[in-house]
Amino acid sequence: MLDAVVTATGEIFTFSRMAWLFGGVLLGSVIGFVPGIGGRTTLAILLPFIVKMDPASALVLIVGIHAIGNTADTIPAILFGIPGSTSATATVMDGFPMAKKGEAERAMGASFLSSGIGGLIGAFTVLATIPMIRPLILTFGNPEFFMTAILAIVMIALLTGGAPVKGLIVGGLGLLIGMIGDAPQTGVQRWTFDQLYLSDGIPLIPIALGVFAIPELIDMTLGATGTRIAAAAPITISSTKWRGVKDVAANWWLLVRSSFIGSWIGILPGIGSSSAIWLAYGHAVQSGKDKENFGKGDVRGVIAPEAANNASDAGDWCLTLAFGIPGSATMSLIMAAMLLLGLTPGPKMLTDHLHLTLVIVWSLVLANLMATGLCFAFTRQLAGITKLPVHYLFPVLIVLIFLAAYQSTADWGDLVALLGFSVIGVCMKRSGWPRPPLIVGMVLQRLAETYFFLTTKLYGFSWLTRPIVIILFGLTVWTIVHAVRRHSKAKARA
Amino acid sequence: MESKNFRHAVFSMIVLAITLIFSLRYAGAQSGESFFKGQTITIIAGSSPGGGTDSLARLLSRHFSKHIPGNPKLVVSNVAGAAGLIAANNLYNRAPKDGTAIGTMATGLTFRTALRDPALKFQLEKFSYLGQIASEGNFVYVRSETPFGSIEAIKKANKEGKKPKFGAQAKEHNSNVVPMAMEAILGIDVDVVYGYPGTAEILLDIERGALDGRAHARGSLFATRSNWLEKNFIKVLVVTSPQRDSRLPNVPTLEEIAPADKKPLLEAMYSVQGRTFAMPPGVPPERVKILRDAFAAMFKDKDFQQDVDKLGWNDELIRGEELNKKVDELVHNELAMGFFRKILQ
Repeated sequence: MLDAVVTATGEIFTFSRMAWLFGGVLLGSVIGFVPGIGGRTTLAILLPFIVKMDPASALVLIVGIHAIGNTADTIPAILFGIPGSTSATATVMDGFPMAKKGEAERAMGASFLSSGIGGLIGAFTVLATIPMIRPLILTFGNPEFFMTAILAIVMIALLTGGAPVKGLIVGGLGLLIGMIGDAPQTGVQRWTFDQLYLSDGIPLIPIALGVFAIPELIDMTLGATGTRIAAAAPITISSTKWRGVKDVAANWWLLVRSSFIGSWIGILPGIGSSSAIWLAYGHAVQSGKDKENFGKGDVRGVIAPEAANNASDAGDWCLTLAFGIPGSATMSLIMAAMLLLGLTPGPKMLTDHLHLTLVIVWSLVLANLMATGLCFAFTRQLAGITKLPVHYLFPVLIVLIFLAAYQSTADWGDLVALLGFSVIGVCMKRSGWPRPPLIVGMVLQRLAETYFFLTTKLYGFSWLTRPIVIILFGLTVWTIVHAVRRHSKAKARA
Repeated sequence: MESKNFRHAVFSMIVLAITLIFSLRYAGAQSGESFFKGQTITIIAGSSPGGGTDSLARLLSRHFSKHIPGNPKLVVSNVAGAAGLIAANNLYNRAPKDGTAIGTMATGLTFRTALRDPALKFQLEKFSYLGQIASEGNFVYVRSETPFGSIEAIKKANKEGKKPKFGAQAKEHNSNVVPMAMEAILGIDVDVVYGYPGTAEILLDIERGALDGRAHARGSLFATRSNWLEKNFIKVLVVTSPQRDSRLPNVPTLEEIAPADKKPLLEAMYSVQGRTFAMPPGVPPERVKILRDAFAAMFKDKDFQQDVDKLGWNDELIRGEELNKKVDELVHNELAMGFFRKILQ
C-alpha cells in the first residue's frame, strides 16, 4: 500500500502530469460555462486522443475535465438562472435570487467553496468506506432505489415553493411528461403521436431552459431600459466572495451532512447526482430553523446542493473504478476509455493497479482544489456581469439558450420544445407555481418506473417488508406530514 | 478561309473534348473516391455515450478513416432510445443518402421486424450493410450456488416447480431472446425478467442474488467480469455460437445439445448475433463498394486488432454484401420469423 502511495505521488507530481491536469481543468471550465454541452460530450470528443496517451496522463486529463464541470456549471445557474447541467438545477433556486439581490459574488464564493470541500469530503468518505461499499451496494436493491426516487420527488414537490399541493401537482405533471416516448420495458410508444422526435421523450435541457431561463429573461427584459440582473442592489458591490466563505464556515455542519448525502447517493448505482442535489436541498430546508428565505436567496440553498453534487461524484468514481459499475452515462464513457487504455475497472484496480487508483484519487483532490481556486479567482469579474444592463446581455443569452437547447438532439423539435415550455414556464412563474418539481419529476420518472417494474417482477409484494424500504417509506410519510404541518402553521399565522 | 474555319472547328472540338473529359472525370470522382475527401461521415450510435454500441461506434471512428480514399473525418452522433430503433429509423428516413451516414444496427431490430412492430419506419433488408465486426455468441450462465448448474438440473428443478430467473434489458434485446430461444429449443422453463436499464444493473442483481443468471455477450463477459469465471462464482451452461469458445473449451454449444428437429431454429438465432453497421438505402453503389472495401481493409490493420482485443470482442468479419443476402433471406424465412414472434409474445 505504502509503495503504491509513493509511486502514485511520484507519478502525479511531475511537470507534464500537472500540466495535463491543469489543461483538463481549464478546458472543462470553458465547457462548463457554456450551458448544454457538459463534460460528457467533451470526453466523448476527446476519447480518440486520450486513448493514445499513457494511462496515468490520460486518467489525469479525464479527471481534470470531469472534476471542474460540477463546480463551473454553477456559474450560469447563479448569474442568469440557467442551469449549466441537470446537476446545477437546485442551485438556481437560491443562487439566482441572490444574484438578483446583488449577491452573486457571495453566492459564487459559497458555491465554489462548498463544491471544493464537498468533493474532498466525498473523496475521503469513499476511501474510508471502500471495504464496506460492496455489502452496502448489495443490500440496496431495486426496491430501495424505487423508494429513494419516490422520496426525492416527494421532498422536492413539498419543500420548494411553500405550496405543497401545487408542488405535488407539478411533480405529477413532471412524471407524466417523463413518460412521453418509448416505454423502457416494452418499447411501446407512449403519447408520441407518430412523431419520431417524441419517440425518445422530450430531452431535459430544452425543458429546463424553457421553464427556468426564458421566464427570467423575459421578466428582466420587460423591466425599464437599463435594468440589471442585480436590479435590487446598488451599483457598488454589496457583497464579496469572502462573505460566501464566512457563510460556508457558519454552516459547516450542513455542508458536512450534505456531503454525506451526496457520497451516499453517489455510491448507489443508478440514482445519480440529480437526486443527490435535491435530497440535500430538501434536507437543508427541512432542517433549517428559519425557512422563510429558501427560494428567495438563502445561501444555505446554495451550499447544500453544491456540496452534495461534488461529493456524489466521488462515490460515482469509486463505483466505476473498484466495482466496474458506472453510476452515470459519463462514468460509462470513462469506463470505456479505461478499457481502451488497457485497464479493466474492477477489484484489480485495488490490487494490481492500486497506484493508478491512487493517481485518480490524487488528481480528484488536486483538480477540486484547482477548480475551486480558478473559479474563485474570477468571481468578481463574473459577478460584474450581473451589474450590466440587461439589454446588452439579452442577445448573447438568447443565442446561448437556443444553441444549448438545439444541442440536445439537433432536431427542430428541440426548439419547439424550448418555446412550448417557455410558455408553460412563464405561466407558472406568473401564477406562483413551483417549477423545480417539474424537472425533478421528469428526471426521476424513468428511474422510478424501471425500478418499480423490476421490484414487482422480482419480489412480488414481499418488497414492502424490506427494512430499508420501510425506513424510506417512513421518511417519505414524515416529509409529507412535516410539510403539511408547516403549511397549516404558516396559514394560521397569516 | 475555309481552312481557318476548319482549324477553328477542330480547336473548338478539342476544347470541348477536354472540358467533357474533365467534367466526366470530375463527376466520376464525385460519385466515387474523391467524394470523401474533405467530407465528414457521421456514425449514428444507437445508444447514449458509454456502453457497447457506443464503444463500437467510437472504435470505428478511430480506425475507419485511414482506409477510405480521401480520409474523411468521422464523427459519432449518439441517438439513444428504444434499443437502437430510433437510430435506425433516423438512419433510414432522415440521414443523407450520399455515403456520409453510417449507423450501428441493433440486433433487436430483427425481432421487431418479426413482430411487424408499427414503430418500425424501415424495411430491414433495404439498408445497405457495411459489414459486421463480431459475430458474437452469448454465454448463458448461472450463479454456481443455485440449483440450476446444468441443463439437466434445470429440467429437474422445473419438475419441482422451480425456474431460474434470468435478467435482461429490453424485450427484444439478446439478453431476453437468447434464454427464450434456449427455452424453446431445449424444452426447459426459465423466467426472464426484462426491463433492466443496462448490463451493469443486471450484473449487480446477480451478485445480490436477486437473479440466478443471464445470457451475456462473450466479449463483454471477458472484458468486464472475467473474475467471476476465475473465482467460480458462475457456471457457464452453454455458448450460443456455432463453435465452442477456445477460452472455455468445456462449455458445449447450444447446437451440440439441441434436439435434431430444433436445429433449423438455431440458424435463425445465429443470424441475429453480431455487431453490424449499415447505411441508408439509396447510397450510390460505387460509394457503397468503396466503404465496404475500406471496412474489410480495416480488419487487417494491427492497431484495430489491438483495440478489438482490449474490448474483448471477437473479430470475425462478415462483409456487407453477404449481410444483405443473409438479412434478405432471414426476413423472408417464415419459420424463423414465426419462431421470433412466438418467443417474444
